[in-house]
Amino acid sequence: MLEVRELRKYFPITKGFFRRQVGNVKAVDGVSLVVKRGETFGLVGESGCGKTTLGRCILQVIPVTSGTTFFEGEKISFSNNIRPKSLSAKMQAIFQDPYSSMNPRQKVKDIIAEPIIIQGHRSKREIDDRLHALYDLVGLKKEMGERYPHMLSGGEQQRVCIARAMAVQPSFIVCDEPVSSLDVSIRAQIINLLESLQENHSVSYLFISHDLSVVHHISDTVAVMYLGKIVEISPKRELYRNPLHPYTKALLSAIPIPDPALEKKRERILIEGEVPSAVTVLPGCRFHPRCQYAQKPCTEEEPPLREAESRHWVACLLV
Amino acid sequence: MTNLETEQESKNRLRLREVWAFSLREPLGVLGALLLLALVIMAIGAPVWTDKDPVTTSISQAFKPPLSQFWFGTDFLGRDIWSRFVYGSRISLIVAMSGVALASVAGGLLGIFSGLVGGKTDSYIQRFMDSLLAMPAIVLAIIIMAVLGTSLVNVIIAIAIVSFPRVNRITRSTAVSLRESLFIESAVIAGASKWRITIRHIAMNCVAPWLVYCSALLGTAFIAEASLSFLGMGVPPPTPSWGRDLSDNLTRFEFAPWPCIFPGLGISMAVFSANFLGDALRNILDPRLKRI
Amino acid sequence: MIGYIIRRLLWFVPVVLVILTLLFLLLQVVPGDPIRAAFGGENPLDEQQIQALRAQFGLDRPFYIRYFVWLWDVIHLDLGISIYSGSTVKKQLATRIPVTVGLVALALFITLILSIPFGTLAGYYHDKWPDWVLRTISILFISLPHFWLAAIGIMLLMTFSGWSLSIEYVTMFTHPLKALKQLALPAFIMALRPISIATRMIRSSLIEVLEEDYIRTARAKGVREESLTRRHALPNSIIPVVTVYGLEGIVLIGASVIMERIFGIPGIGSLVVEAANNRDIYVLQGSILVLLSYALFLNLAIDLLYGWLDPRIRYER
Repeated sequence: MLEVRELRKYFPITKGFFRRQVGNVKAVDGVSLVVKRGETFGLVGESGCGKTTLGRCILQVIPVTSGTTFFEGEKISFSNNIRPKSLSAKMQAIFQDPYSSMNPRQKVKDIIAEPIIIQGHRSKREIDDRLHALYDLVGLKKEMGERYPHMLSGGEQQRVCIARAMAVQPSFIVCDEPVSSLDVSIRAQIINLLESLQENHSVSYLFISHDLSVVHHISDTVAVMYLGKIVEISPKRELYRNPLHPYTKALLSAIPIPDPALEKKRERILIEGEVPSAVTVLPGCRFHPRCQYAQKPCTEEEPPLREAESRHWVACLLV
Repeated sequence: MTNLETEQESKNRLRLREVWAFSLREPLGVLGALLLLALVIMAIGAPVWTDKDPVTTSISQAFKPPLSQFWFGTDFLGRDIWSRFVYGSRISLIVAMSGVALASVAGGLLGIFSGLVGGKTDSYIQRFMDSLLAMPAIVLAIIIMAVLGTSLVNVIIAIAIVSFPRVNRITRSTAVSLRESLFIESAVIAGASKWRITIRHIAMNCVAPWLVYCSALLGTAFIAEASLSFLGMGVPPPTPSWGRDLSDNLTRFEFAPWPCIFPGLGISMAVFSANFLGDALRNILDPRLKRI
Repeated sequence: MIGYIIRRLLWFVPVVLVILTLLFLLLQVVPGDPIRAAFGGENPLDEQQIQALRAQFGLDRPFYIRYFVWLWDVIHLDLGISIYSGSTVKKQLATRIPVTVGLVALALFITLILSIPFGTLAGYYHDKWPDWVLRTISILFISLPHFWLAAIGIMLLMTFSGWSLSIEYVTMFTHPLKALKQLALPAFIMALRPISIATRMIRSSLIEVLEEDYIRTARAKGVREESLTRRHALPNSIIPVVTVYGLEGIVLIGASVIMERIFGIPGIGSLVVEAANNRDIYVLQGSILVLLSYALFLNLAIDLLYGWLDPRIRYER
């Protein structure tokens, strides 16, 4: 349903008095992925790996440097002026900070109704009915509609954003760290809400997060991103059971296991070093400065993403 | 569910309650608003409040003290100060309010436009505004009056021209900071057209700082009109103007201090009320965003 | 930092050009012929004399030539001759510039030394009585027009101490002490409004900073309250106030115009008003240029100071 091919997004860096371009921040450097209808595609990576930028490119709110995106069979691209209504009807987003994504001077009911109004052709009656249905859908009380965003708690605010995203019955929602800023107890509620919405309305999600356990819970396919590139993609079970890329292995080893005895016993892989610059890209594999298995070929040749095992792609020379 | 009152009635009650809450919380603001109202009433109903002509001179009556036949006394030309006070309020109010109204609308709209459009257009407009802002306001006003000549309309124009870059700066910086915010991005994703975003999202959020600034601007405008008149470059005689009355009588206050005191009081009252109102508005509108 | 300085300086060039052009346009478009306005009243000159004078002042040449000639002259500081008095504009300005400089500088100085302690007091004791007192006084002085305060001030002084307005003013550079005495009252009255504004700004800035987390951390580490204010809170809260000082400095330049009128101080400000009333365009232009250069200089100084104080600005963009 959604296909991304070789997406690249570079941000130019200017220096000096005349703002000459001296380099690029290679936020996204050749990413390809496919999201199927009704599935959740999890995207994990550390801060600064480019996952949010990738999300914004897919949403077509920023122009890409190169690469193409296909949505429901059609090629979509960024335009400063017109956003096709069909795109807004099918593709929506929820963000990490729900409060910032809402107009602080709009009432909740107007916030949720806005996408519907933009699509047009609905009477006030129809909109009210749809609003009530949405309140029920996300678990908001009707009275909340009259309030302003700052009067709501974090969890309630995110519910409003979800209601707004669902208002036009989209088929695809980009979820950029939707629960990272919420209390742990609320997180579970929101995740469950997202899951039930997916089940009942067959929505696909691109679920971006740095929290591996959440991604594990909700995703069908998971991709691991590092420094602008995808280093591993595979169906969830397979990835968590059998991580192939050294980076993935290290990440997974950091997830605490609730059983203290087991926790003590297992191997912890610590990643040394700092995240290298996304500007001056070193030759070879991006991860090699921090990789515990690095060999000489890793410093020379950049590993392509290839299918190492059935439906399990890895970008590593040593696999 | 039975509603004992209609939706409209409950909305009205809510608004009334908001006004009451506002009054309790910001007594100074209410004071300012009332003072301003008093000035307006005085200005509009000028002939009601005084039956004496502010313009006729009568040297024999010069420098009569207040609380006599003349409530505020007379000035150096024998003109009744109370009448000049009342009629002078008209000038101050008309000039200040018109000037600020012009400047706030023009500056506000231009600010939003300039802030949103960005790029070279924005740059050029802002450079021009910077040039206007680089000069002290009074100097610019003097230049404008020197070019246009003294008249009521020209004073309004001068005040408007001097104030408008300042309003522009405020709305533009709000617009620019809003432009990058997440809720604008959400609106784009929802498919909002540029118009819709500009009006419903950006402008709506620009109103608060703009309103606060413009009410403070009103205070400055009062002083500006008075200053220009004081320098002889404001409203031409014989129209009563608080500023000019002050300057006319300044050199003569060895004879009598009161012709100076009352116009000054008038100006101060006007400025006070504008400032109080502005402060109160700021307290009301700003923390709303931060209240959780 | 150097890049920042250069960028700020370069920003000035178009601004100055625009202002100069505006000035030229405005003043050359002054309705009514300046020659006629100057000489038309008592002994009207005949057409021939008027034309001769116009030629002498170069007023008969076409518009765009006048513009470039004027720009050229300005850059060379040849500011023309006063139509009214016949002496060169430069000479008139030269005598008056030191006076105004002294006045404005004194006012700024007073503002600085009074507003910082007042603001700190108000911020530190906020919502207690020193704060309330200072806030009320501030609002008072922001609202009361300074020429009125000056009038009252003079009145009081004259009635109660027999002091009178000076006839002749000396400049700071020739007789510093006497100049100080003469300019003290006008400078002080001029300073009242900026002091109030700056006090309020410092107060609110300090309150905001004192709530910041890094202050809380320092307090938890055991830093003494007084040292905390002095070394952590105050420097950080001063930064936004610097721009206010700059803006108020510019306003002060404007205020000097009025003060000079009231006190009869022969400075640039009063020259502007005289020239505007006499339609003496060259003097007007010259004196406005002087005032503008003060203002631009202040602008630049503030920008650079701000860039130096707040490292974030330098690295932006």
